[in-house]
Amino acid sequence: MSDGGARLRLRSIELQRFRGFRARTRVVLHDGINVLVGDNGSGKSSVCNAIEWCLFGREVETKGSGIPEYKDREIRHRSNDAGGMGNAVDPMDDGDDGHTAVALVFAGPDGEVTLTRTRDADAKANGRDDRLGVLDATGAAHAGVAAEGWLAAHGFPSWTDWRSSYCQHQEDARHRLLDDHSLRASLSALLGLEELVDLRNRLDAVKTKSHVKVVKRVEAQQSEDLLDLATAPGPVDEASALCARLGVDPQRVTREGARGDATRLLDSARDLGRELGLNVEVPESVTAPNDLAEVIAWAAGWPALVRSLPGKHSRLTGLRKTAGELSALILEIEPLAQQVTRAEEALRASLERDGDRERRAQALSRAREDFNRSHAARKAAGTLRALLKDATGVLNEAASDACPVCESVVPDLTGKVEIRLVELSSQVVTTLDEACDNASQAVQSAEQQVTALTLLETQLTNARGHLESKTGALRTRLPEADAEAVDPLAAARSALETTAAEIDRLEPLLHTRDQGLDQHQQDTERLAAAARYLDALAGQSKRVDVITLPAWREYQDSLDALVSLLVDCDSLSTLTNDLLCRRSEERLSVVNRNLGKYFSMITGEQRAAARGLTVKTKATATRLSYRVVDAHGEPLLPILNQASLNAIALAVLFAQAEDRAERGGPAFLVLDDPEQSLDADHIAGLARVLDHLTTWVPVIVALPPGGLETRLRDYASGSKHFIRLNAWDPTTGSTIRPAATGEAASP
Amino acid sequence: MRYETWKKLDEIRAATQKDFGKVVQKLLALTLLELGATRVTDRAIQGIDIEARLDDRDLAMEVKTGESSTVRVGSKDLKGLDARRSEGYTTLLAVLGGRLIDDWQLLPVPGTDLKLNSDLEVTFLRPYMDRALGDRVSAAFVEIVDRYGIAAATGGQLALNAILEQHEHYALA
Repeated sequence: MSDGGARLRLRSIELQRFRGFRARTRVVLHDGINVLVGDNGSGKSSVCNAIEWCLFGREVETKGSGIPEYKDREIRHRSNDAGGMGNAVDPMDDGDDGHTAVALVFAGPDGEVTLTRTRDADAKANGRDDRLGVLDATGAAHAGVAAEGWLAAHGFPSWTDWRSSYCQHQEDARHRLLDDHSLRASLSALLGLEELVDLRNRLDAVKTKSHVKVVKRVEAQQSEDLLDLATAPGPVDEASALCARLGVDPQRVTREGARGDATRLLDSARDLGRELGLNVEVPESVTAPNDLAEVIAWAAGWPALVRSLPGKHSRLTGLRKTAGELSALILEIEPLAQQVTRAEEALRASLERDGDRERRAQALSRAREDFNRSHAARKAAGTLRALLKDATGVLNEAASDACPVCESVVPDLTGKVEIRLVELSSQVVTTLDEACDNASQAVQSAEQQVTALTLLETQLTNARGHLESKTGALRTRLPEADAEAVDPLAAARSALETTAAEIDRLEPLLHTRDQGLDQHQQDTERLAAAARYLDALAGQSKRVDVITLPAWREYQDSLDALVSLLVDCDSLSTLTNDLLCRRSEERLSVVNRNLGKYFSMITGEQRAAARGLTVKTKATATRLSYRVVDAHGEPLLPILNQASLNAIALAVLFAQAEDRAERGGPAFLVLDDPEQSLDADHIAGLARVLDHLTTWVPVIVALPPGGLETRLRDYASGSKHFIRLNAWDPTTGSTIRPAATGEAASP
Repeated sequence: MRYETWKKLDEIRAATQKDFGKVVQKLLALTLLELGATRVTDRAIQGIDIEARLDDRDLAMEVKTGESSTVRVGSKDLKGLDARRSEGYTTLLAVLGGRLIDDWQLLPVPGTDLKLNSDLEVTFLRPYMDRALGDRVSAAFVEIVDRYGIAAATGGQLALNAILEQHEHYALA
C-alpha cells in the first residue's frame, strides 16, 4: 500500500457464514504479532482467506502442494443459517437473509474504515456477483466499482501484489520460487518494481504482434483495393476500345475537336435534307458542352425520321414495288400464254388428223361392230372345231379303213382324216383369231382418239383459265388507261418499261439518301464514342484523385494515430524497461542485504553464508529477468531442499514487508502455517524473524498448537496476541475461544 | 502515391534493377530542384546521398528505398548524417516504400526510433516523419516521375544526370 494504506491498520475481521464460521464472529487484531492458534480444521486458514476474499472476492485456488481449495464452494461450505451481517456496508447490520459476509475494519488517522464483501445465499443460482462496499472515515459509503476505485486510490494492493508480497498460504511459499511466473512476481515485488512491471505488461498488452499484423493486413487490403481500382478496366478503356473500333484515335480526341465534328455533322444533315427535298429542322450549331450530348441524341434519331418522311424516295419505293409486281406477273403470264397456244395447236392438228368428235364416235361404233362380228365368227369356228372333233371320234370308233361313203379301203384312213380335220380347223381358228384381234385393236384405237380429243380440249380449257386469272390480276396492276387493253401482257410490258425508266431516274437520289444517312449514322457513332471517351476521361481523373479525397486523408490520419499509439506504447515499454533496470540496479544491494538478513535469521549465519543467497538481474532492451544465485553466481534454487526453499521464500516475503514498511507500505502480513517443512532450528529462526518484523509491520500468523506457536509464546519479546480457535463443532461451526488472561497482552 | 507514378516506378525498377535506388535518388534531387532548392548535391558513391538548401534550411538526406513495406537502415547510413548535423544541417532519412500506398517519408535523425540493421516497416516510421516536407516532396515527386519517368526507365542514371546537369543549382559529387 502507498501512503493512504500505510496509515490504515487492520483492527478486526468479522465473518458471517464464511466457511466454517456460522455465527457472526469478530477477530480483534492488535499491533505486533497476532497468532491464530487452532487444530486442523478449526478455521485458522478461513480467517486468513476471509481477508483475501473481502479484499478481492477471491481466495486461494490451489495450495502450493497442488491441493485444490474448491474455490467459491468453500466459502459457504460449512456455514449454517444463523443470523448475521445483512448490510453490505455496515457489518453490524444483522438482517437475517442467509447471506455470507466478511468485514475488515481498519483504523486510520481520520477514523475507522470498513470494507465489506457480501454474497447472497442464492447468488450462484441467480448469477449475481458478490457486493463490495466501503464505509470510509467520513461516513461515506462506496459500493461496487466505486468501492474498488476507493481501494485502488488508497493504495490497497492488486491481487498479484497481494499474492506475491502480502501473504503466504499453506505450503505455497516455496512454490513461489519454483514457478517462473511466481518467482518473477515475488522478486519484482521485492525489488519494488510492481508498478513498473504492471505498466510494462499493460504496454506490452497494447503493442502486441497481432496489432501490428492487423495494421499490415489493413494496409495490404488497402493497397490491393487501390490497385484494383486503378487497374480495373474502366470506362476510359471501354470508350478507348470503342473509339479504336470506330476508327477514332483516342489520343487525338479533344472536346473542341468533338464540337467541330458535331457542327460538321449538322451541316451534312442540313445539306442532305435539302437535296432530298425534305422539310426537316436541323439544330444550328454546337457551342456549349451540353450541346454535344443533345446533338448526339438528335443525330441518332435523324435517319429514322428521314426514312419515315414522304418524298422522292418514297415514290421510288412505290415504283419499285409496282415494277416488281408487274415483272413477276409478266414472268408468270408469258409461259401461260404459250401453253394456251400450244394446246390450241395440238387440238387443231388432232381435229385435222382424226376428225371431230362425231366422226370419231362413228369410227368407234364401226370398229365395235367389226369386233362383234369377228368375235362371233371365232365362236362359230370353235363350234365347228368341236364338231370335227366329234366326227374324228366317230371315225375312230369305226376303226375301219373303208370309206363310209364309197366303201373303198384307204390305208390309215382314220388317221389321215383326223390329221386333215385338225389342219383345217386350226387354219380356220387362226384366221378368225387374227381377225378378232385386229377388230379389237381397231376398237382401242378409236377409243383413244375419242379420249385424246377430250384430253386436248381439257388442257386447252385449263390453260385458258390460268391465263385469264393472271391476266385479270395483271390488269389491276396496269395504269387505268391500259386496264381494258386487248393485250394486257403487252400493255404490262410497256408499263414496266416506263416504270423502270422512272426508277432509273430516281435511283441515284435514293442512293444518295441512303449513303448520306449511313455516313450520318457512322459520324454520329464516332462522335458519341469521342464524347464517351471525353466523359470517361473526366471520370477517371476523379477516380485517380481518390488519394487526395478527404476520406483518404482521414484514413491516413487514423492509421497514423493507430501507428503512433503502437509506436508510443513500444517506446514507453522500452522506457519502462529502462526504468525497471535502473530501479532494480539501485535497489538490488538493499534487497540482497535484507534478503540475506532474513535468510540468515531463519537458517542461521553459517548456513546462510555458505549459501551466499543473492538475487541477480539481467537486463535486455525489452526485458528484465531475475535469478537467485549462490555465492559463485550459479543458480541456487534447483539444488535446495524444501526447508531451504521455504526459508528463502519466507525471507523474500519478509524482505518485501520490511521494504514496503520503509516506503510507507502495508500495515499487515498474513502467514498461514509458515513453519511447514522447517526443522526446529528454522522454526526458532522464523520466530526470531517474526519477533523482529513486528518492529515494522503487524503480522497475522495462523499456527497449530506447539512448534512455532510455543516458540513465539515463550521467546518472542515483541507485542504478541494469541487468538485461540475451538475445534470445529458440527453444531456451532468454527468459533473463537475467549481470550485467556495475559495471552493477548504485551510482555 | 498515384497509381501512374507507382506503375512508372515499377517500370523503372524493372529496367534499372540494382540501380533503382540511385535512380530514385536522382528523381528526388530533381524533385527538390522543382521545389525551389537553391543548391542540390547528389552523390553517386560515398557520403551523404543528397544535400540541398531548401527554404533557407540545409538538408542532408540519406535515401532508402524498399521493394515492399520495409527498408533496411544500417549504422553507416547514420554516420555521415552525424557529421553533417554538426555542421548545422537538418539530417533526414528519406524513405520510400514500394507499395502503392507508400509516399515519401522524411524522417529526422535523430528523432526517429530506429532499430538499425533490421527490416523496418515503413508504416511504423510514419509517426516520426516531417509531414509538411514529406507531403511537399511527394506531391512534386509525382510530377517529376510523370515528366522524367520514361527517361529514367530508358536511360537510367546517365539520362537523369544529363537532365540534372542542366540545372544551375545542381552538382554531382
